[in-house]
Amino acid sequence: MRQASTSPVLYRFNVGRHLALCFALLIGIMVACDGLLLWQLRQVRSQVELLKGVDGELIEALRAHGDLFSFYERLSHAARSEDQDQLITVSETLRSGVLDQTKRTEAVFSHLPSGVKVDETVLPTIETIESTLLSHLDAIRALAASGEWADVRSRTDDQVQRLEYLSSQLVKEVARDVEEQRTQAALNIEIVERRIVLATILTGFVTLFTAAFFGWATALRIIELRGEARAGREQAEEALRQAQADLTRASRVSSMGELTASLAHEVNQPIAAAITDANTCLRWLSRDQPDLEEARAAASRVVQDGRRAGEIVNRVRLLFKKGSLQRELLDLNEIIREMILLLHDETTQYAVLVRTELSADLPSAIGDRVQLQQVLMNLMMNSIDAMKDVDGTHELTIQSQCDENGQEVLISVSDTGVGLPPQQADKIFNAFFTTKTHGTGMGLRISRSIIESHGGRLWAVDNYPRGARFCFTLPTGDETHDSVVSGDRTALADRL
Amino acid sequence: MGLTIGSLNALSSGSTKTIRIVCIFLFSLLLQGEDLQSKESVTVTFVDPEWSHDLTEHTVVADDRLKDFTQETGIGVKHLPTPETTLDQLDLVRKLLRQGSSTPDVSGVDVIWPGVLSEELMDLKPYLATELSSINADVAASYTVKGRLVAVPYHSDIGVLFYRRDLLRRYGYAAPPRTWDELEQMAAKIQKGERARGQKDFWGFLWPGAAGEGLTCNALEWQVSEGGGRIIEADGTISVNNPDAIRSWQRATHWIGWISPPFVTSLQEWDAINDFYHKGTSAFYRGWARTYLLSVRDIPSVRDTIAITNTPAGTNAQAATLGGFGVGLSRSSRHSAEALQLIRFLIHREIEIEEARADYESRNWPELYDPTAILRAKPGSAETGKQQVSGVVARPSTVAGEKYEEVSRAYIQAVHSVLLGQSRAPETAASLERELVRITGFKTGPPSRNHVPKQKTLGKVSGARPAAASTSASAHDFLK
Repeated sequence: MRQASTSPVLYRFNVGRHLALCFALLIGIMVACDGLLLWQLRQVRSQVELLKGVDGELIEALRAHGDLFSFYERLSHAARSEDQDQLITVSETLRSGVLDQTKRTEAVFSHLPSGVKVDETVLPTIETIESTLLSHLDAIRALAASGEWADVRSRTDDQVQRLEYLSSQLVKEVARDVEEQRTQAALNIEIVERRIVLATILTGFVTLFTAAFFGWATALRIIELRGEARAGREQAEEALRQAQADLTRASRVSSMGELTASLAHEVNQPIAAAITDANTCLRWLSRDQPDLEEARAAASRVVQDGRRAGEIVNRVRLLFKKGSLQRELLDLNEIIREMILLLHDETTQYAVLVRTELSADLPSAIGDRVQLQQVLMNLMMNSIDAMKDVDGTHELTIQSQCDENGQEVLISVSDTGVGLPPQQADKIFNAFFTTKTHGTGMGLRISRSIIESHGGRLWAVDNYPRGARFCFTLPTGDETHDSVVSGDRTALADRL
Repeated sequence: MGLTIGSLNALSSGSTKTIRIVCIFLFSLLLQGEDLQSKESVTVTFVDPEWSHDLTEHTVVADDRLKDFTQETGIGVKHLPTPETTLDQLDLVRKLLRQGSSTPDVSGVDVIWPGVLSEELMDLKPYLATELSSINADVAASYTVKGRLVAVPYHSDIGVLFYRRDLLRRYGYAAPPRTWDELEQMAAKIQKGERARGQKDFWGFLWPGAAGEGLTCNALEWQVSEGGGRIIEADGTISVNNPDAIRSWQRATHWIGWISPPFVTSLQEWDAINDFYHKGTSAFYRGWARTYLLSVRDIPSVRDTIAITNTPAGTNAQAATLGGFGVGLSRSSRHSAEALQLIRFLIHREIEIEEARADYESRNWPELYDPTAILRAKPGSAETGKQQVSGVVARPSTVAGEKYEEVSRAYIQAVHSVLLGQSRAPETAASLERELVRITGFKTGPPSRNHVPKQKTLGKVSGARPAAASTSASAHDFLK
């Protein structure tokens, strides 16, 4: 069906050459059938006309014959009366009668429909009979005038009767012709009937066929279009997902670029601490009386510092790593604290006072650590950015709490910055919407999709008295994870 | 349809087969319609003046021949009748031909009408060269108008005198009358005798005196035989107003009530021959040779008692009017090729029949053989010894051309009024002369009897036989 097509229109409708030919053929057949029907109707009409004309012909012949009879009757009556005056009167009447008849005959024959196969001899024969009658009338009048009644009778009986033979022959011939033409016409009409029935059936069949064909082709096309649409949508979704993932990564990478300094600083801190502790350890060992206890304590701090630095490096590597999500039970408070640590330089630079109101019995949530770190970093960076150019106190508050049912964890990041753009509180989550001069407009969009992919929600509200407040929820880990959560929490509590 | 089937070839398999079947079915429907219009064989129509002339109750003389023709060629022929008198025939044929319809294809054209009908008929000369060679050139000339042969001679006829053999024998006559004087005497004697025998309504001489073309033929014979000229001479001189013609009319008028019945002026040819054949109340009848020849074999009473002879001679010559008709081909015929075939067939058949008849005639009517033989061209057929030369006279139709109808009507009216006693012959002749001048525009002059050569052979028509009687005019001259 969908083969190469030459016509752009056909291509647009996705109609192949064969399909087009089929349609053309069907339409052609229908038109032909309609033409056939019209033609047949015309045939019927012409046959009816023909029958009418043929009847007219027969009537004329019969009339001529009948007139001849009455002509003969009246003339022979007058001839037998041997009354000259009566014969003259009668012959006058008869003459005008014959003349009228002649005119009528001519009129009838000249108005016969063209389809009528008039026997060419009929009119001449009638005309002959009529003109012969006239010449007989003349002869008979002359004979009567000279009193030759015997000749009058003889002429009347012989000659006029001979004309009767002629006219009866004529009637017979015409009747035969008429019969033939009638039979032919009846046959024609029968054939026409048959043709009409056949054409009607054929037209019906073709109509059904066309409709079925059309319906089938349309249905097929719709199915195709739907398939294409679905494939297109899936492709688009896949592309969108891919783009989103790429964007997420890109955003992460760019954010990481900005954070490299603070990370270096962060890494530097434990290293510096480790150096200090290592020096302390050396000092404790290089005494004359090495204090081994102090030295061990210092060395273990060195180990802790090194581990911390390793963790920081590890985290940074994780942030850069493009990989599948790693769902695990997370202590969100810990992540918050880590992020505060990570953004320490930023907050210090812009004189931002970071305040935390973390719920102590916050349940663990399931999620990807790095992604959630990213979300928090995004929100916090946004807040810091929002407060950069604002006078007054720069206060960044991070809260964590759990709802009454213990089903969800609610984290909020509020600032005292420029606040949300009026009437556009929800648009900020759209892709490429940004109020910042150097923003990509992707941060909040990515954050929301990360939260939503974790089964939570992210939204923004105005903060009181000023600034904005971004909140997100995450579902808590279920009961089976409780022990893990509590265990982790214990470990966390230990570490803190 | 062909287009659809053609485009079908572009499609492949499957539904193509069904569609092709549907197409073939449709196509067959169309073909079916065409089959029904059966081919109709050509039918030519033939208007035959003899249709109503036959007295033998064989309604249609030519029917058998036409059947033969249809068998031979497959061409149908419709045989149409015409009215009885030639003037009525002219009216009808002219009307039919001028209607411009294809009917009739072939028309009988009386020898006097070629001039009148020449515009409606085709020139047959190019098509019938072979046939013309066996037809008397002089007769053919009567059908030629301005070099065009508008009809080919078919049946030729001459005026003859019918007589009752039994009556002649009864009254002691061995031979029929040769002159008008002899006719008058014999008619008067027989009439008187028969009336005495109880036949009160017996008349000596019967002739068609009704106002019709038959009267022209009769009166022309009277005139010419008395030296009264041919109404209009071959050179276009109107000669009708002359003493001899007037005398001949007066003579005929004198017959009426004496040897011819008063009602003779009402008798058409048909009435007259009917009376003569069937009533048996007259001794002589002026009729046509062909009428006799057609009836003699079939009517026993005719065969037994009636014979024919030359028309009586007058003081100048013996004259028999040339009659008959040819067949012409309508210009508006749609089947001219088939019509020509019919004409050829009729002419060939007629020549054969005439040859057979000539043999019969020469044995049975030696005295008549000559006038009928003049119509044939075969020189050898005229070899038999002849007792008498007959003068065949043609009516002035060739010279009057399309005006002949008017000329003849005027002449008929004039002679008829003289016969009826309505007008006197000299005045009538004078007014007829004026009338003819008005009609034709010709000049008047004396009749041409003085120019008739007394010693002349019948030329190629009658072969080498020398003219015998000094009173006879050569047919050749009269036919010119």
